[in-house]
Formats: sequence, structure tokens, C-alpha cells
Amino acid sequence: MQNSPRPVRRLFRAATFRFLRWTRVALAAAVFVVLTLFFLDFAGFVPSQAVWLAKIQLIPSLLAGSFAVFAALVLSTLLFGRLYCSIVCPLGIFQDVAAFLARRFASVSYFFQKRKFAKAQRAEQAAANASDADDSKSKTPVKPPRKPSRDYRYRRNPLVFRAVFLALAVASIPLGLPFLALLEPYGLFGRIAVAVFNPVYSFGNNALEAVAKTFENYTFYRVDASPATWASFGVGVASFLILLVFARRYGRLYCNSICPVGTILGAISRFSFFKIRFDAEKCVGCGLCAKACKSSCVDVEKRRVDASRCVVCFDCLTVCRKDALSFVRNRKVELAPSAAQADANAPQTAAKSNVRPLDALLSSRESERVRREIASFDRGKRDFIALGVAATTVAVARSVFGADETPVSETAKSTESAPPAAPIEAAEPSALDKPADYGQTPFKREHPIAPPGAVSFEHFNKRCVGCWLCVSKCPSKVLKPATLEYGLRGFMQPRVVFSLEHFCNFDCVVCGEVCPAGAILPLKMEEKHLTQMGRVVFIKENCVVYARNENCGACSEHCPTQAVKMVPYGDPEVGLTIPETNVDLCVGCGACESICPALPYLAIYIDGNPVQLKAKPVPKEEVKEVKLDDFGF
Amino acid sequence: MEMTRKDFLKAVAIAGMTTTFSSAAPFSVLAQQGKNAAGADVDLVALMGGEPGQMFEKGIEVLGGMKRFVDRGAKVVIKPNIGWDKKPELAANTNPELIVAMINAAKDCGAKEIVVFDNTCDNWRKCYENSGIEEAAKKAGAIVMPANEERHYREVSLPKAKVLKKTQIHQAILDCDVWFNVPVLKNHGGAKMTIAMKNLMGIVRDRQAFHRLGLDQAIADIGTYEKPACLNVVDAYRAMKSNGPRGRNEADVVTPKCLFMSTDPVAVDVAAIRTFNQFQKMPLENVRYVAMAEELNLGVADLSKLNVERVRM
Repeated sequence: MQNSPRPVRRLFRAATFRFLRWTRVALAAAVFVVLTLFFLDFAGFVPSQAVWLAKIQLIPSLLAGSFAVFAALVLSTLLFGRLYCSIVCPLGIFQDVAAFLARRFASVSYFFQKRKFAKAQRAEQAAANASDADDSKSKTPVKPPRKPSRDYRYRRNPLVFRAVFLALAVASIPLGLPFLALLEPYGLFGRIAVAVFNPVYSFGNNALEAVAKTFENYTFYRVDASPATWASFGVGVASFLILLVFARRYGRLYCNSICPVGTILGAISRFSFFKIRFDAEKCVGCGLCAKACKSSCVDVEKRRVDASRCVVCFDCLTVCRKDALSFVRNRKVELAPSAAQADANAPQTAAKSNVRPLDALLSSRESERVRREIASFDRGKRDFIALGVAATTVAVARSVFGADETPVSETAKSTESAPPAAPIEAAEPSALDKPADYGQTPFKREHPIAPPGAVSFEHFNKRCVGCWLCVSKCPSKVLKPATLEYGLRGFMQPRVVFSLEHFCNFDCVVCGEVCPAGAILPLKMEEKHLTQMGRVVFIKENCVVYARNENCGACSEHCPTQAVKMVPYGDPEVGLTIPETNVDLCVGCGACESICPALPYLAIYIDGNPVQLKAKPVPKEEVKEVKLDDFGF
Repeated sequence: MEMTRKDFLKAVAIAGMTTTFSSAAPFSVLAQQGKNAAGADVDLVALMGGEPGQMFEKGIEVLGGMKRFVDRGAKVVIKPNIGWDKKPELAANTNPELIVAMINAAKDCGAKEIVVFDNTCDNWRKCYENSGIEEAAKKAGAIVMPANEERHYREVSLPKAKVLKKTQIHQAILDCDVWFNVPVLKNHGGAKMTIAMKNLMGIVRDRQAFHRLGLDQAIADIGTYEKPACLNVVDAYRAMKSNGPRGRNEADVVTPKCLFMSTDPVAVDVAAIRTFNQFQKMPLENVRYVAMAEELNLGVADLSKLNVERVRM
């Protein structure tokens, strides 16, 4: 009995595996809860350091040029495999949570279906007993409910899919397509969090507010639960539903066929130091591990785990009753045991477990073929993937960092280098009951407005993964996912949109602070005050002062730099003032645009800068000491 | 305007009583108001040289005490200017110390509830936080209400108004027993000055309507609302002399250390403008809504017709 370990050792192993698994679950849960709450929190109760959970995401860190983070992630994958996908990636954890909940829900509903079925059966029985002769009322027989399957099963590695999606993601950057951002998991998670979780969270908050208010408690305040834009809402909800179905039925299918990060890390994890391995001598081929594997990567027939898809969740370790799986140092590719060995073990194990080991069923010729297949398959694939990874890294690095970028402070004064972008919406006349005698001149914005610190459309569009963390965190709610305003490559990337009471707060730098991809650079307050994301345009014919000879000044009143200043206008006896603009001072915050009362077309608006410029600092003035000794009346 | 205190009091003794009671509804409480040294009723108190809270305590004493305005069990609203996401030192918002002193005074009179709010220009959460008013008012025991949503307002009609015939006013004002208007003294790009009358734009939902209808007349019109502030308290401890109402930086701020209090919103604005004019030129005629308000009988612009008490601390 040299094969069966001593009982104490077995217990210890089992405890270790359980500990590993629960550690994984606990870490994943912590990351998921904190990051999700960080996305949703509008009151600032989640510490701002939580942003690091976003900044250690693989693609964002790569785009931000945080090579230390990227290197650490590659190193951890080389050591332990795709732990990243289990405990760092919020979308990976989201799928686990979704699958867990969906399965729970399925078993609960199965319980009730069963009861309903039993009741129906009893009723049928009673009816049959009451009138056995009455055949005319032949009822349709009640179908027994199907027990929901909780099992996953092994699937082939969809190499072609993975290669195509990876190529699509990588090629997107030089080709100006949005696929990296759309396929990349962190951005995908963010869009789900903002489009789906955020409204739920806001509704919950508003319900709390309503309850608290009846007790004269004003701790809570209502927030706007409506989506940023309907298009972005659709994108988020669609992503949510698709991933929900994927996760419920196929576990980590997205991670192992679509996700570019999964493919890259999968390639690396083939060489990882620790791996899940079969002990072919102990395995009886019962297949419990394969059924538990959400990555569908445990091939019981071949007694091997596809490391490129394994996310080291340790689920298989804890279900194996034969100690046949372990998380051990990588060795040379282990071949399946010879048929002879398996045969020798077969009688004992089979007798114990009532399951016949698979190898025992294979002829020696068959098992030889399987072994050869494994060996050759692995080598070929390994080379292919290694090549892919190298190419990917180079391509990403070159296209992202090779381009001619200039920081905000050094940008040219002109806006000539504007990339072609779809012209922005012509101003929609706003509907108001009363027709006005001013605001009749329509205007058209030339460019969208990128968030302050975006440097340029070029810089911004290349890096943004569309996670919408800035959209969610912007206290003024001026960031909205674009559709085609930046062109195709900026699909779902945030742009600045002004509306009544919504303009960029002069003393706010939140979007740059939270951006994990370096698409919006973090600005110091002094830098923000001089960052010109757009420029003011004044249309005199639409102005209330011009058209009606009345004072207004709402634009100037709101202007933080007095780039819009009120100057004397018309008859000095009347004492009117009219706006005068100084674009050099303008930062493009949109305060003027947001408050301009002209209808149906505004008299003042901001046009975006394709390359963000440096505004002139406001002229220095002496602080005047006033010492009054008289009231003046 | 060179007039000694004695001269002034003499003038008041002759002219004061004849004009005091001429105005309409807002002044129905004047019969009980505070008296000055000559035994005449005080229409306006101007204070100088103290701290914001101190000056209020002194001023309200001169006016006959807070009890004159706040009954036991009353629902009180204090309406400061919290329009901007600026710290108190930049004088864009009312001084929090003044608000606290007022809350304490109202509490001492047995007010049932004291509400503080403003319809802000910048993001309301940032304004409430960075003005220091939310924290200070809550600590002093007031309820700080939001004013950022349509549902906080109800429509009222203003039959005496010229252009602003109807508007939506915050429910805290509509439902209270008395309310205090507590602006800060600032220059204003559109209306030239923002003091007491202009501060009423913060009890209204749709400020854009003011700009569409003609800002100056609309400012005067909102003063015709049937429940005017029981007292206007103008914070001029710090004032914004230029680039108002938002201001750019410290250079826009001066520190006259003044406070003006009156039941008459026109008079208190005129007094504040006259003081303002000493450090930044601002002819009274340029502030067009003052004359418009006077035309609507909202108050008296000619300070010589009023009993003004000046207090130096």
C-alpha cells in the first residue's frame, strides 16, 4: 500500500488546499467589494487609496506606462499562474460571483419547482382516484422539473478564437479602432459597474434618504440615478447580460476565449513555477475536478490541466477525493502513466471507489498515442503563444509610447494637429414654451472636449479603456461616454458635456486622479487652473444684453478666470454691460455655457481643443488692505 | 454726507417718525422694534470693527433682541449665500461664524427648527462643504437642507411683480414662520452688486428666468414675495470688491469688518453699497435694481429718512 499516503498527511494536504481556496475567495471578495464600492461611492467614504485596485490592472498599467506594475503581474504569473484572473481582475471575480449567485438561484427555484410538481402529482392522483373511468379528460401529464446542472465540463482550448481576439485588440491601437478598450476586462467591468450597479446603488441611497427624511433625518441626500447617456447604458447592460449568461453556463468562457489579458497571461502561465498537476497514479478518473472547473481546463482523459486557461482558483484541489491533484513546482511535461502502471493500480483503486480509472480502459496503444499527442501539442502551442506575446508587447509598447506626445505645459499654441473627428452635435434648440427674441443664431461645435489632463485627443483616445471611473467620480457629472464624437476609436470614451448646472468645477482634479490608464493625467491644482481643454466662443447676436437691452452677466458671473468679463455697453446712462471674452484666460470649464439663458441657441459655448493648451495665468494683483473708519453714509 | 452723530439724531427726531410707518406689510412689526439713544425706532444698524458673531450679537441687541423676530417653537430659516465652491477666506460665501451666531440666537429664543440652505451656483455638495457652512451649521444644531432638485420647490405667484409673475420658491421658505436673509457683500458682473435683494435668487429654482426676463427687474420683483425676510443681515466682515460674484483669488477680497442689519432690504443694500463705494467705486445709480425695488415699495433708498444706528467695536 505504498501509494496511499498516511492519514495525517492526507488531512494536512486537504486542509492546505482548503486554506488556499478560501484565501483566494477572501482576497477576491475583498478586491471586488472595495473596487466596486469605489466605483459607486459618491460620498467619499471609500478611501481614495482604493484607486490602486484600478491602477494594478494589467492593460491600464501598460497603457499608463507603469512598467513596474506590469512586471510584477508578469512575475506573479510566472510564479503562480493566472492568480491575477482570480483575485485582481474585477471582471473575473464578477463572473465567479455571477455564476455562484445564478447557481444558488437555480437550486432555490428547483426546490420550489419540485414542490409544485409533487403537489400537482398528488392532485392528479386524487383526480384519477375520484374518477378512474373518466378518460375523456385526458390531461397533459405534469413534467418533472429538470435538476439544474451545476457541472462544468472540459472543453478544447479555443486557440483560434484567442488568437483572433488578441490580434484584434492589439491591432486596434495602430488602426484606430476601439477593440482593445471594448474587449479588455477592467474597462468592461467598469462599464457594467457604472451602467448597471450605479443606478441600483443610487436608487438604494435615494430610498434610504426618503425613509430617513420621514424621521427628520437629513444625513442622506438624493443623487441622480439616471444613466450618463442611453447609449452607454445600453452598452453596459448588454455587457452585463452577456457575461451573466456566459458565467452561468460556461464559467470563465470570456476569460479563456475572448479576453486579451487572459490570452497573454495564459501564454505566460504555461511556464509558471507552480501549477496544478495530476498525480496519475492516484487519479481514478472520476471527473469531479473537471466538473468543478469553471475554466473547463481540466482534461481528465489526458490527466492534464491546461495551464493557459487555469486561473488557479483551487476548486479542483478541494473536490478531489483521491489526492490526485496538487499545486506543485513545475517539472518537465509529465506524461500520462503507462498503461501497465495504471493497470496495476486499477484493481485496488477501482474496488475502493467503484470508479474504473480511465487509463485502465485504454489499450496500451491508445495511451501511447495520447501521450505523444500531449507532448507535441504542448510544444507547438507554446512556441505560437510565446511569439504572440512578444509581438503583442512590442506592438503595444511601440504604438503607445512611440508616438510624438507633448505634455500639457509644452503644447503648441495652435490647434492645427487636430485629428479628424466627427463634428459634434449642432446645438439643439431647447424646448421652452415661450419663443424668444434672441438666441436665433445656430452654431456647430468643431470638436468634442476631452477631460482636463487628457493632453490631446491622440494621447487620450489611445489610452482610455472606457472604464468610466471618471464618469462615475466626476462630482459635477460633466463626463459622458462618447458615441462617435471622437471618431470610432473614441467609442465610449468620456467627453465633457455641459448642461444647466453641470460644468467642470474649477477646483477639482478628480478625473485625473482616478484614471488608471494615464489617459487623463493627474493634474496639480495649479496645473488644472491653467489647462485649457476648450475655448470660449461668444455669439453676440444671441446675447440677452444685445437683443433686449437688459443686464444679464450670468456667464461672467460663473467664469472662474474672468475670461468672460462684463464691459460697459451702449448708453452709459443706462449702465448696461455685455460679455467680452479673452480666450487666453479661458480653461474651457463651461460654466458660462451651462448658465447662459439665451434660447433656443446659446450665446456662449465652449469648443474643444484637440490638443489641450496652456491658459494664461490670471494677472497678479496686489492684495489690497482696507482700513475703514467711516461707513460712507 | 458729512454729518455728525448728533446732527443726524436731530434730523431723525424730526423726519424719522413720519416715514417709518409709511411702508406696507413688511414693516408691520416695526411697532415693537428697538429704540435708539434718542428713543426713536432703529431702522438700520451698521456695525464695524468686531468679529462676525460679536457684531451680530451687538446688532440684534440694538434692534431689540432676537425675540422680536423668533417666537418660541417657531420654524426658522437662515438663508446665507453659499453659491460658490470657495473657502470662507475668499468672501464668495457668507461667513460661517455669522451663521453660527444666528443659529445660537434663534435656539436661545426656543426655535423649534432652524433650517439653512441655498440654491448654489457651483456643485451644491462642494459649496456646502467648502464654504464651511454645512459643518458649522450642523454642529450648531441646524438642519442643512439641499436645494438642488425641483422637488424642493413649489410655485408661487407674485402679483405685484412687473416681469417675474411667478416662480418656484424653496419649500423651507414657504413653510417656515420666519426667515433671515444673510448675504455677503460682493461685487457682481451682471447686477453690479450682490447683497440682500440679489441673495433672494438663492431661494428660487430657476435663476435663468431672471436673466431672460431682465435681471435687474426680476431681482426687484422677487422682493415682492408675500413673506419677506424678517431681517436682512449683510455680512461685510470680508467683502469681494472685484470679479464678483465668484472672484478669482485673494486679490478680490477686502476685509472691512462690517455688518449691516435691517428689516428693509433696500436700505440695507444702499448702506452696504455706500460702504463698498469707499474702497471700490460703485455709484448707487449703477445698481439699477435699487431704484426698481423702491418703485415697488420694497423699502427706502434714502438713508437720511431712516433711523440708522452706527456701532463701532
